[in-house]
Amino acid sequence: MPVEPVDQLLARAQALSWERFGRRVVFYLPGMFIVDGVRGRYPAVSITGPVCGLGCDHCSGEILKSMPAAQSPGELIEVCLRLRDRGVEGFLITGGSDRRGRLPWSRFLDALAEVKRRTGLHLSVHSGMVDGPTAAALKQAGVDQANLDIVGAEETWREVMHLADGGALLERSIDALHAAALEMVPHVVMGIHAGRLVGERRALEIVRRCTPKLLVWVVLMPLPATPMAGALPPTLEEAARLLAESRLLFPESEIALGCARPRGEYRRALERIAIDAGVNRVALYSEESVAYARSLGVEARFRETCCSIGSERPAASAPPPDLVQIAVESNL
Amino acid sequence: MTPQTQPASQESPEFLRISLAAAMTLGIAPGWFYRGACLHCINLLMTYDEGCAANCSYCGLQRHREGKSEDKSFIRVPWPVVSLDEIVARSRDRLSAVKRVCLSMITHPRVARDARVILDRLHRQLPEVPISLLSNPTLLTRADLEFFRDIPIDRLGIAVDAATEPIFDRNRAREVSGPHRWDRYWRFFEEALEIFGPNRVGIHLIVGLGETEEEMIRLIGRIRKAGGSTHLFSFFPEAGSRLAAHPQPPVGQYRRVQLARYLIDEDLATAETFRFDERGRLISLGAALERAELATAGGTPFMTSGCPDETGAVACNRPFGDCTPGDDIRSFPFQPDEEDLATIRRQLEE
Repeated sequence: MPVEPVDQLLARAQALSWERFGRRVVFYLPGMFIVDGVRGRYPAVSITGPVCGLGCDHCSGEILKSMPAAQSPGELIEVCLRLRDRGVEGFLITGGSDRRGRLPWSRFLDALAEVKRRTGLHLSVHSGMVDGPTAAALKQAGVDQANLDIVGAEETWREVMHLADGGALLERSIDALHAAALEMVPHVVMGIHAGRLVGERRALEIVRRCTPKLLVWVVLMPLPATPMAGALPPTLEEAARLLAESRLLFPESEIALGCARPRGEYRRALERIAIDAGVNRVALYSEESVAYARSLGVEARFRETCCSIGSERPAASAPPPDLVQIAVESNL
Repeated sequence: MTPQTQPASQESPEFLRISLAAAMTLGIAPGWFYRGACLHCINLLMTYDEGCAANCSYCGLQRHREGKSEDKSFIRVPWPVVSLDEIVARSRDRLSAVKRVCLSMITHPRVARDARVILDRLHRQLPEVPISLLSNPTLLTRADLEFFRDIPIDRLGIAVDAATEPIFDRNRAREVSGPHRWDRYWRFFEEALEIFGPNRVGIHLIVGLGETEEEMIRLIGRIRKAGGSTHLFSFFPEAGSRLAAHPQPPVGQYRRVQLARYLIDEDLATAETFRFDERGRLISLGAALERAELATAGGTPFMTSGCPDETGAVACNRPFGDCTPGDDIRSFPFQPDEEDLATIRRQLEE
């Protein structure tokens, strides 16, 4: 069968998206980032500080280093209350994992419940690998959603994550979250295997175990000080195909282009492709992308949170009218 | 037949004593753990023919106790002597069970030098396993601490054991002709914090040597403020030691100190929040009451406090290190069940 030209694939994806979800893109500024002096209002907090026992080759714990640390339950409550006083909309509680891909949730469950009770704000976690009781306990503590990285290839689990049975653990975790009725937001890292596409399509198959409301794509960022410092992200054409295919594969789900992806020219080009592919949410966007969307007659909306948060803004806080001005391309 | 020769002495650094529980985990000693309380930390003790030169009143290794050093019990159980080679090889074969290795020093002129050799080898041959050192402030220098940090070992323990200076003097220092000094221990704690950083230095304290709950809890609060944490033990008399006839502390006292320690070390309360009666008994948790009730319901405050595995759970759960297997469990080496929790709630009020 001849390969469908990428333009045609994108056009089909965009048409489907516009028909289902309307001509609309929500642009997100998550709390980890400052664009022209304005910080997003959905910060990430690490419950292990900068420490990660898994040390996957694409991160080596580097991403944790920029986050506020809360390494005890009391500290987590304190950090979250302080952030609440600064006007955040919610929290992404994350951290490094152990060699089996787990975060130390049991120690923090009471603290999560207290944060939820005292702030009433949205709580997301990077759940990592969870068993049934842990998923249920997170739900019980008031966690609203669980972000989970979906890795498709066994060889990627083995060679990049150094977790030989990661595939089986992941499927069990997905089932545990589903059984606990804790909303899972799957994240797929395009090019996680040193830039090569190895398991991305298999990852989409895994996601289909429990069709999500939202699928988030992120892209390998070859970080200095990691074994992948010299890798290249997937080509734009490869990325375009994956975005469009996932759009068509999950017609009832929103698709997001997340914040973790290479900066610079690649970033702007990929955002444009994402809009062509009918992606519903774009995080850490450039002004050109907003202009491009509008030139297609696409309505642009804005939120200062993680892109995993529902696109309906809570009534409590009105959108700042000038965010587009704020988000002028920086050096990110 | 080979002629009989004097057996070569089995001393550190080539040989170490290993706790009975760790020997069971490594398959060296037979046995099973009461209620499945498997130990995940391989506790090692340095060993020399001359034994320990200290004379702590509560310890089975004290100099003035009768008997050869290798026959002396420690924490009331035998510690078999095993070669470092065998410990490493067996740990490698059981990496899923071995979450941490801890080396304990005794008081002997060679420990500082030999610990460098042992820790360096443990790290090189078991790089996956985090290492703790239960250190001897009387014999170590700042340069030793820097060397250990760079190996790296990731946690340092300091067995202060006594909650007040008079109790320390009475049981470990001048009054028992022991070499340790209270001031030296706390200066060493400050140095260790500078070198290892916060949350990496644990102080061992024994409840029941004559201190009040208030003295113990206020000290735990000062340790936490400085950046350390506390590993708690309930006194249990060691046969043959000077304190062989000294009673265990009342269980209620230990439970209250456990709960306060948990709240303080998890940053859920500060010692200033608590109130004590005129005999120093903890009578109010103040603003921390709600958090204390939640924590009590889960049971975690009453579990062994010790160095963690990489998930943050306690690896060094020292099964029955401060009690006997049975009804009077002091530090739970596993999550207390509903029946245990009912008992604990009652004991908190005793």
